[in-house]
Amino acid sequence: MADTGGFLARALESRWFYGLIAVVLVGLFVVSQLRPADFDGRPYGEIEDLSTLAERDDLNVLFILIDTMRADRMGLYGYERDVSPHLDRLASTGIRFSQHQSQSSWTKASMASMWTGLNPARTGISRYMHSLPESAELPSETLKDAGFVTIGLWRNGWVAPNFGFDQGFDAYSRPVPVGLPGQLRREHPAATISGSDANLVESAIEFLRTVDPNDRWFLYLHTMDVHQYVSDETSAIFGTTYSDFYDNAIHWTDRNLGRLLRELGERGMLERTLVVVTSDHGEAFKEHGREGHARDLYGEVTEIPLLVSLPFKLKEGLEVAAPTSNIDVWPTLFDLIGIEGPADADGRSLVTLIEQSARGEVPPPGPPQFAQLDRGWGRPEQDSEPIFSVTENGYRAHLDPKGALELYDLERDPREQEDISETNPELGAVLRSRIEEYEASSQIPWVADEVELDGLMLHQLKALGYHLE
Amino acid sequence: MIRRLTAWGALVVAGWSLACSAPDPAPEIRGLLAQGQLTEAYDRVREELDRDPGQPELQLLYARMLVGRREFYLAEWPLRKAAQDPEYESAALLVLAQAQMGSMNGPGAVEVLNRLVELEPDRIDLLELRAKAHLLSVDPESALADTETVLEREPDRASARADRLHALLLLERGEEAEAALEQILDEVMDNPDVDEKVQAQICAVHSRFTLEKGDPEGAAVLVEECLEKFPTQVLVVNEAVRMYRGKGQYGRIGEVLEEALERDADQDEIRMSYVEYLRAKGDRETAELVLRESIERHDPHRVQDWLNLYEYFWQEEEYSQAIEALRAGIALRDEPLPVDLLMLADAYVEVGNLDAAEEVAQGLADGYRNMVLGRLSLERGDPARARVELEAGIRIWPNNATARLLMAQAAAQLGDMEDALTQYTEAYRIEYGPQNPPEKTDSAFQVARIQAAAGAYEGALDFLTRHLIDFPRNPDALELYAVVAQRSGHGEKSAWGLEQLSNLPQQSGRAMVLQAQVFEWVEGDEKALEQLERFKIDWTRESHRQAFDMRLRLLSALGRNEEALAAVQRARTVRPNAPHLMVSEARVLSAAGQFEEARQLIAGALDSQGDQKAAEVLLAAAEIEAAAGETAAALTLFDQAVAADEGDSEAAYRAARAYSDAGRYPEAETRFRALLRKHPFEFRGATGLAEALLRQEKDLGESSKWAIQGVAYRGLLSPYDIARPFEILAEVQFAQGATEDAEASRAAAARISKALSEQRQGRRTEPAPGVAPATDREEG
Repeated sequence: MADTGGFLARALESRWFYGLIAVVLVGLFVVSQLRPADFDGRPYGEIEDLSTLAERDDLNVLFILIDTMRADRMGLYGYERDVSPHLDRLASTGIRFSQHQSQSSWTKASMASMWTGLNPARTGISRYMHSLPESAELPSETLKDAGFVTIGLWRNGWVAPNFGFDQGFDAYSRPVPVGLPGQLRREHPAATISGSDANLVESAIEFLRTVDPNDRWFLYLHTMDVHQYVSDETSAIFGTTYSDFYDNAIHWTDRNLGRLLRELGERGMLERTLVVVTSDHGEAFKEHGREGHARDLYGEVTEIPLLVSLPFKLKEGLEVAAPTSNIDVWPTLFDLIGIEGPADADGRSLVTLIEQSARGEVPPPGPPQFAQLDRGWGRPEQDSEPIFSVTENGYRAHLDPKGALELYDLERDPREQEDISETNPELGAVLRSRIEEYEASSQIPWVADEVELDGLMLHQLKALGYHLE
Repeated sequence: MIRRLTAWGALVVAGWSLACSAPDPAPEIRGLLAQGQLTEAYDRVREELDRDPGQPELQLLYARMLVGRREFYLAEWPLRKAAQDPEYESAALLVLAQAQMGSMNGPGAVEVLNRLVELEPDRIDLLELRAKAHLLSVDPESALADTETVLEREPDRASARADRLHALLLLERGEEAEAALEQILDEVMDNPDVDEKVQAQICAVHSRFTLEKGDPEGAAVLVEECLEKFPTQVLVVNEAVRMYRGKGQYGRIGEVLEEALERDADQDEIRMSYVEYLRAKGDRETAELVLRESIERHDPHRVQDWLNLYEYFWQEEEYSQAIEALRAGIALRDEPLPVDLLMLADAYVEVGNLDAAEEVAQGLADGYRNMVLGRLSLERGDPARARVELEAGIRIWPNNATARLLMAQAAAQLGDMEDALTQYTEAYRIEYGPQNPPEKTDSAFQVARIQAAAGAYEGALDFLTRHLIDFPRNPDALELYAVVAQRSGHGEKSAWGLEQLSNLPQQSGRAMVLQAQVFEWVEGDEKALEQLERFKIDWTRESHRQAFDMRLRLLSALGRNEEALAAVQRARTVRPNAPHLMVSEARVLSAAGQFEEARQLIAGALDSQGDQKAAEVLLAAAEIEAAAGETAAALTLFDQAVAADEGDSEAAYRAARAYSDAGRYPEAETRFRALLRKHPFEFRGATGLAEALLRQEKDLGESSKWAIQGVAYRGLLSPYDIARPFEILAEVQFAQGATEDAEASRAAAARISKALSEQRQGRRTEPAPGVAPATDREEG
C-alpha cells in the first residue's frame, strides 16, 4: 500500500503522468468523434425473421430517396473514398442489392415508375408536362388506407404536387428556409439552391418529435443536395473537379442522413422502422461524352443503390447480387410489411430473392430490366423521341429513336465502352425484339394528365440545372 | 429489509405522484418569453414537448416561436400536432397557413386554408388570406373568386381590392383591371388614412399600367403627377427613371434624381441611382461629391457610405482611393467581415502592394485566405504555389469563377493545358449557369483558344459564339472565330467573323491580312498578293500598317523587290520621318541584301521615335542583323526588343528562337521558359523548349512533355510551322529509345512538309495540313 502510495506520489509529480493522461483523453475524444456512439439499439435477427415483419402492427417505413445517387460512388458499393460512412454502416447490418437499376434517368419518369411499380411505357409519364392522374395508385395511398400517417418531404420540383406525386400524403411539404447558413454557399455550378438537405432532415426530425408514438408512419424523404452538388466547408474534402464536388455532396448528404438515423436510434424508433435507401437515377461524368443525367440510359445514370435496413440487425450485411429494378421496390416492401399492393405491377417482390441469397443459392435469371427516356422530355413542341435499354443475362442493349442498337457485355465491359452489336448480331436481334415487345405490349392503365407549368415553376425547375424550353 | 423496501416504495409513489401532478409549464414559458429570455423559453418548451408531445397549447406556443425565428418549415409539425386538438385546430391552422406562405408554399397554404374556411366559413379574413395564397400559387382564377366573395360581404375592404386587381392583371383582363385600379385610386389617393408609401406605389402602378396599355403619353403625364405628389418616394422616382430611360430623355432622369435627393438626402437608393447616372454621363467629380456628401451627413459615419465610395473608385479603377475608402469603412466595424478583407486584399494586389495584401490575408479564414494567397503567388510568379493555394480555396468555394480563372492561369503557366482547359470550362460553367453573375469574364474565349489550339475547332467555334454574345467587339475573339471557321471549312462563318472584325475601329487592316494569309497558305504568295491588292490599303492609316507591310513582304518574296522599294519610298515621300515607314523600307532593303542602308534607316527610326514603339523597331533591327549574319548583335537587339515590350509574345518567341538557332541552348531555355510563363498559349515555345532541353541532354522526360505539347496544340500554327513540332518530337522519341513512335512522328513531319511543298508549287489541290486540320489530326 505504501508502495502504491509512493508510486502515485511520484506519478503525480511527473510531467509524463499528466502527459499520459492528456494523450488518453485526447485519444478518447478523437475516438468518440470518429466512431459514432452506438445509438442503434436494434436486436440481432436472421433473414428467416423477415416473415415476422408482416405480423407486426408497429412497423414504420422511412423511405429515403437520394436524388442523383449512382451506386458506384458509395462506400457500400465499393467506392474507395470514404464518402458515405453512415449509410455504409447501415448496410453492414442490412440488405444491399448490388445490381439495382432505375427505369429512367430523369426524375419524374423514374419516380412515376418506382411509385407505381410500372415500367415507363405503362406510366405514360415521359414529358415535362405529364402528371400522374388520380387513378394511379401510389404506395402513400395504400399505406394511408392501412392507417399509416403519410408524410412526404421533397426538394426536387419534378415530384411537386402538381405532377400528382402528393396523392395519399397527409402532408407533402418542401422545406424552404428563409436564407441559407453562411457555410453553405457552395453549389453545383449550373444550378441554384434554396435550402438544403439539412433542412429536410431538420423537418423530418421535427416530425418525429411530434408524431404520436402509437401511430405508424411512412416518411418519404427526397434529398437533393447530391443533385445540386451542395456541401459545406467540413464535408468538402475531396478535391476541386466537378466529380469531386459530387463526392463532397454525397459526404454532406450522408452526414445529414446520419443525423436522422441517430435521432431514430435515440428515440428507439429504429427497432420499429424499415429504412429504405434508393435513388431515381445516377450521374454521368463524360463516360459516354455527356455530363449530368436525363440524356441517355447508360449504367452511370441508371445503376443506383438499393439498401433495406430491417428493424433488426443482420450479423453480416447481405448482398443480393441479382439484377433488380426500382419497380420491384414497393412490391417488396408491401410483401415485407404484409400489406397488399396494387395487383398489376410490372415489378415483383424480391423477398424470395433475398431468402435465396441468404441461403447462398444462385437465383434463377430474372425478368429483363427496362429503362426508358424520352429525349424530348424538356421540349413540349418537339415530337417524342424515346430511347430504351434492356438488360438481360449480363448484356445490355440500347435502342435509339432511329432504330440504332448498341450492345454491351456487362460482365466483361461493365462501363459499356465497347459496342459489340456488330459482332453479335443474333444477340442484338433478340434484345431488340425484347424492347419492341415491351413497347408494343405496354398498356397504360390511365391517361396521364397534362399540366401547364407557370413561370415560377419553370424557373424553379430550371434552377435545378435542367434545360427546359 | 421490509422496512427499507417500504421506504423505497413510498419514495417511488411520491415521485410518481409529483410527476403526475407536474404544474402546467405554459405559464413559466410565457413568463420567460415576457422577460425576453427567448433562448431559455425555446429550450424549455422543447424539453417539455420531448417529455410529452401531447400538449397542444405548448405545441402551438413552440410553433409560434419557430415562426418568430423564421423557421417556417419546422413550424409545420407542431402546428399539425396542435391542430389535432379541436380546441386549438383553428388557431394552429391559421399559423400554419401563415407559415406556409412565409415559406412561399402557396399550394400548401391553400390546402390548410381550405380546411380553415370549412371550419369557420364566416370569417372574411380567412377568405382574404386564401386569396393571397392563391395568388402565391399563381392561381388567379381562384384568387379572384375569393376576393369577390370578400368584397360582396364587405365592399369597402381596400386590401381585398388590391388582391382583386392583382388577380385581374394576372388573368390579363385589362378593362376590368383598369376599372378596379381607378376604383382603388379614388379610394386611396385622397384618403388621409392611407400611408403615403402605399399611395405612391399605387400612383406608380397606374402609370405603368397606362404605359403597358400602349399609352406612353398618358403614362408620362401620370408619372409627372406622381412625381409632383411624391417626389421622394423611391418607387415613383424609379418608375420615372425607367420611363425616361425608355424615351431616351436622359437629362430629365438627372433632374428627377437630383430634385428627389435635394428634397430628401436620406434616400440612399436614389443617391446611388444618381451616382450611377453621373458616372454614365462622365461627370465623375459630381459623382464622387454626391457620395462624399452622404458620408459627411452622418455622424457617426456609416460603413455602407464608405463601401459605396470604395465601389465607385473600384469601378473607376482608382485603386489607391478605393483602398482608402474601404479601410475607412472597415475601421467603423467592430470586426471586419471576410468579404471586406477579401476586397481589401484584392485592391492591394491591384496597386501592386503584395505584402500588404498578404498581411490582410493572414486575418482571413481558410478558403478565403487560400484564395488571396493563390492570387498573390501568381502575381509573384510562383504558379505552383498558386495552384496549391487556389485548389485549397476552390475546394470549399467551387463556384468562384475568378478563382477558377486564376487556377487556369496557374495551370497554363505550368504547362498543364488539360487542367487549364478544365478550369476555364468550370469558370465558364459558373458564369453562364442560372446564377450567372452580371459581369462575365473571358472564360469562354480562353476555352476556345485552347480548343482551337488542340484542333477541336467545332467546340472552339461554339465557345466563341457564346463569348461573342457578351463581347461582340472583342477583336481577338473575332479573329480567332474567322481563323477557326476557315480552318474547319465554315467559309460563311469565317467571312462573317472577318466582316465583323473589319467593321471595328482600327481593325480593317487586320482583317485584310487574315484574308490574304489564307491565300498565302493555300494558294501561295502570288494569289495572296492579288487578294491583298484587291483591298484599298491606305498606308497612311495606322490600322493598315500590317497589310501594307505584308504587301511589301510578298513583293519581296516574289522577287519584286524594286516594286516593294518603290511603294515604300512613295509613301516616305509624303511622310519621310514616319518611323514605321522607315522600318518597312529597312525590311525591304534587308531582303535585297542592302544591310547597311537598312541599318541607317533603323537608326533613323529609333532616333525619331519615342520609347513607346521602340520594341517594334528593335525587333526589326534584330532581324536585319540576323539576316546579315551578325548573330551577337542580333541577339542583343532581340533581348532589347523583349525588354521594351514584355507583352509582345512574338518578339519573345523570336528572341528565344534566335538563341536556339545560334546554338546557345541554355539561354534559349531560359527565354522559352519565360515565354511560356508569360504567354502559355504560345505553343511554338513548347517545341522550342523541348529542343533546347534535348540539345543540352537535360531531363528527357521534361523534353518529351513539352514536345508532346507542341504537337498536341498545333491547331493554330501556320502551315510552315507544323512540321517542326513533329520533327522535335521524333528526335526526343529517338533519344528515349521509342524508335517506332519516333519513326511515326518523323513520317508525319515528312508528309506535312511534302504536302506543303506540293501545295506551294501548285501540285496539290486540297489545302495543306494545318489549314485543313482534320487530315492533319489523322496524320498526327
